[in-house]
Amino acid sequence: MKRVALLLVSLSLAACGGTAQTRRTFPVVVSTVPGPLVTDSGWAVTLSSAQLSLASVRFFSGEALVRRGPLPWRFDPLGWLVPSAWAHPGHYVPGAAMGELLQPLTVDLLAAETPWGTADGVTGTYGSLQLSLGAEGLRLKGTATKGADSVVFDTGSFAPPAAIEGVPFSHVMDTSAGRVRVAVDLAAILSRVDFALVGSGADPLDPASPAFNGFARGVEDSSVYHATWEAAE
Amino acid sequence: MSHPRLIAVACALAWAAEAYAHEDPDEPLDAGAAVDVRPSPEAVFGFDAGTPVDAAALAPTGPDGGSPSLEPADAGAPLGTTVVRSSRAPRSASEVTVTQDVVQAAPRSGATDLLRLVPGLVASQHSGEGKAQQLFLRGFDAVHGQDVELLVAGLPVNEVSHVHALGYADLNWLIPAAVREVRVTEGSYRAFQGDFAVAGTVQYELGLEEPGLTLSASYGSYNRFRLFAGVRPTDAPETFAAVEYVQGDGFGPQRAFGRVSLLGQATLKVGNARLRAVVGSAGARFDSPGVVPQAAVDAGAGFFDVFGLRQGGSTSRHQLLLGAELPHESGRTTLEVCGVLSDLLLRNNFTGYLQHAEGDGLEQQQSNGLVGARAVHRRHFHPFDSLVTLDLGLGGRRDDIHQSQRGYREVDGAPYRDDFAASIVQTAVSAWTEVAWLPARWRFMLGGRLDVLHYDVRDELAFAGAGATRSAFGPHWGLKAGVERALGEAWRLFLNYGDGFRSPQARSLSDGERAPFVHVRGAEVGAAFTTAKVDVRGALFGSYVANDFFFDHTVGTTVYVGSTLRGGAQASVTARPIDGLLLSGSVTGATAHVVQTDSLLPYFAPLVARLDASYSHPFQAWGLAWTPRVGTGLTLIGPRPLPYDEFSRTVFLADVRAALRVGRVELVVDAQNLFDSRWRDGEFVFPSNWNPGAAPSLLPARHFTAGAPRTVAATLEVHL
Repeated sequence: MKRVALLLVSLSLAACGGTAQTRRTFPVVVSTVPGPLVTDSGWAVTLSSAQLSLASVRFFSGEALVRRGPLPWRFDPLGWLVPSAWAHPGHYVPGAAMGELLQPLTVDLLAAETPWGTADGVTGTYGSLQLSLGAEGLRLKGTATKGADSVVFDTGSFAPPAAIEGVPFSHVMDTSAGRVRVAVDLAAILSRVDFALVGSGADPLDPASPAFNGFARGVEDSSVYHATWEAAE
Repeated sequence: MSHPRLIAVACALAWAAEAYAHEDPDEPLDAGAAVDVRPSPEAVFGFDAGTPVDAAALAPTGPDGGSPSLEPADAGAPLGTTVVRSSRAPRSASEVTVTQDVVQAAPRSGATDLLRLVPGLVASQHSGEGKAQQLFLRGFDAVHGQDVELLVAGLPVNEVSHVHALGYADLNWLIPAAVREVRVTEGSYRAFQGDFAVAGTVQYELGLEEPGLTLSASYGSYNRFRLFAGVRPTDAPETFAAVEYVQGDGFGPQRAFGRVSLLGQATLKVGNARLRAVVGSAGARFDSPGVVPQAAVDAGAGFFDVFGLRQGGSTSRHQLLLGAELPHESGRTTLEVCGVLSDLLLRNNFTGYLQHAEGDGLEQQQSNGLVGARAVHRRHFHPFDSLVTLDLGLGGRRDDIHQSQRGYREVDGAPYRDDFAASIVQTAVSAWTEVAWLPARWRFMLGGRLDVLHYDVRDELAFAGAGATRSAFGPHWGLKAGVERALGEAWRLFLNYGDGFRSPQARSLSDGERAPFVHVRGAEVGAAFTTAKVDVRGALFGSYVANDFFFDHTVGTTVYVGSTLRGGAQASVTARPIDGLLLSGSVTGATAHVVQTDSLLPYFAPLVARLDASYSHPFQAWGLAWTPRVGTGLTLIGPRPLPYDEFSRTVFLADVRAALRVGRVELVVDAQNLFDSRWRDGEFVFPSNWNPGAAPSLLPARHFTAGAPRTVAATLEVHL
């Protein structure tokens, strides 16, 4: 009886396709954005260790709002006098959960890339992701040089108190093969750090120092994480 | 009852009294009304059938503006008379009347079983024996009633702008033994069909099967205990009073319930006028075990386990209808007023700790006071030797609603968060007409319906508790049309078109908004073959909704999906091939998909089949009348599409009934889910988290509500 019912239902629905979305899985890898590490204050950084503790990544349908300036075609004659306020990251609605990888991982960011695991997800339009760091967060060690000055530093572990929300990831996910790459822009994380302002010391970095504050703000900045879909060859 | 409500009821009563003062002779019978002449129950017990019919006992039909029907006269007939039973003439191939012998063929322990009498309808009771069933019909997921208009003896059941779900229709107060027949009008092709008649209209008519006093007591599995008492005068077949008390522990933890229901109907003929009053009071309390995550069962949890404490609810309903039917020489006028007071307190938590660390439990409360009135005028004309009928209907309804929702803590049930609280006055005024022309073997019908809705909403929590008010207003116009062709004595072909609508949720309206309607356009082509012993029907149906939405009431999300298209086929048969044997079955196949994405809508029921069969063979022995009877009800629900290309499991349920009546005493043994199938009454896909310490998965996952295992009940019934 049940087989007959299933057959009849399958026949009756065969012409109508499925229910819009389907479940799928996809791998996630973690790497860094390549490039020289130079801070805004002119320090060139060489890392000896970069450990990132990851707790989870969740994908959502809501798009991140990251527009930072006026649209070029919009005429604003008083803009020079009274500048407009523009949306910034954080003011976004996550929307529906589309995928997730809840497996903790510690990544050596000096490696080329590290497989994180396989995320469970559904097909549909993805707009953003949410990254949760583990308790150890990010810890960088290395040497910063500026002219004749050289500073050996260890940032210590820093984990944001909340998940990093609104990381842009615009992709129409179907069932085709591929993977998600989450790349960490270490240059952007270190950009705010002035190694001349290390407070009581750089190794370990004084948590009350302006340099540590710059590092922490960098870790919390959702724009330092880049998520892209890489289709399988 | 508040002061304005008392005034409204008093005005309505005055109107009814004025209407009662008019006297007109009976109208002639409409051509096409199927008449079934068969022996009365008295004749079955050994008396002679075939004596003349008492034509004076024939009465016009109910107030829906349908064709006149011949009402049962068995109770009033002296022994030895033949009783003429008639069902209303159908106006589409899927317009059917389920008679009392079909109702009584198989076990009917409650509202879910009564809803399964409707061809193609799936009723799921996913939150305890007291919450309204979730309904699926003709490709629609009607949630708790938003797409199926339900009426009992003319009293509206659907509640507008309900806090839990739009059109919430709680039928649990309906006493199965007091259901005389079920009039099913699937689709929205008739002008009398009002709000929520998107997939169809179901009207339950009341009456006890047997005159005299009936007392019964039942005891069954899981300490289910039932007491019933009903009385019906011999000379007034529609008049009765009945009370039912039911309680039980439920088939698993946190499923206990208890309810009491009182129903009464009185009809009185004064001259040509027929007066009718319906009264009812009911109260229920029920626990609910919640929804089981499939992942938890896979990890070792029990199939009947509880997820979420303190779930369940409490309901009450009090109702009154007063009506007058005034025949005149060329037609009939029916006037009715009604009032319904209903309350619901509902606690549920389907998502655990997903949204809130304290728990996602929701306590919903709704109090509704409904006052309504309806007038239907029917007139016959005979231009050019043909018959023309004109039906005019007017109706009004005011719902005075107080509703709130707040969150409660899972650990102790204490409320900690107010979500909303609102007072709503919703007013609906409707006018409709059907004009039918019947030249020779044809019948052409053209009709229309206008509904105007008005909303006053006070959002009690807005502006830090100061409150905000808003109002909305909007009309809806719908067309109805039908063509019938009789072929010979038995065959009829039907072609129908109709627009239906569903009123919006008051809380969703903004100030000054033209009240939007979900508007459905439906069409159907079908055929019926009717003889004295068999009635076979088949229909192909389709419907289009331009601005549909999908409301997932388990998590309270609404997804607007744009235009949707539904279609399907339905076949039904009712046969009485030999004395004592009854077969009544139906098969419905349906599909529903979103036009824009060409994808299936989730949750609808693509395949539903139902068979009710019974056999009885009365005989005389040792000076007593013996009536053994057996019956069965078989239900098949095919896999339903779920989100993410998944399907629910197939459901097959077999219920059986065996009974023996000796003289005035009857013993009935009912078994439901005879094969003890482990079935899922409801299956849903949404995220939940029942481990507050863990990082929850936010991805939607499969959940289910467990269906009842095999239950057995024995009933001892005495007829005095």
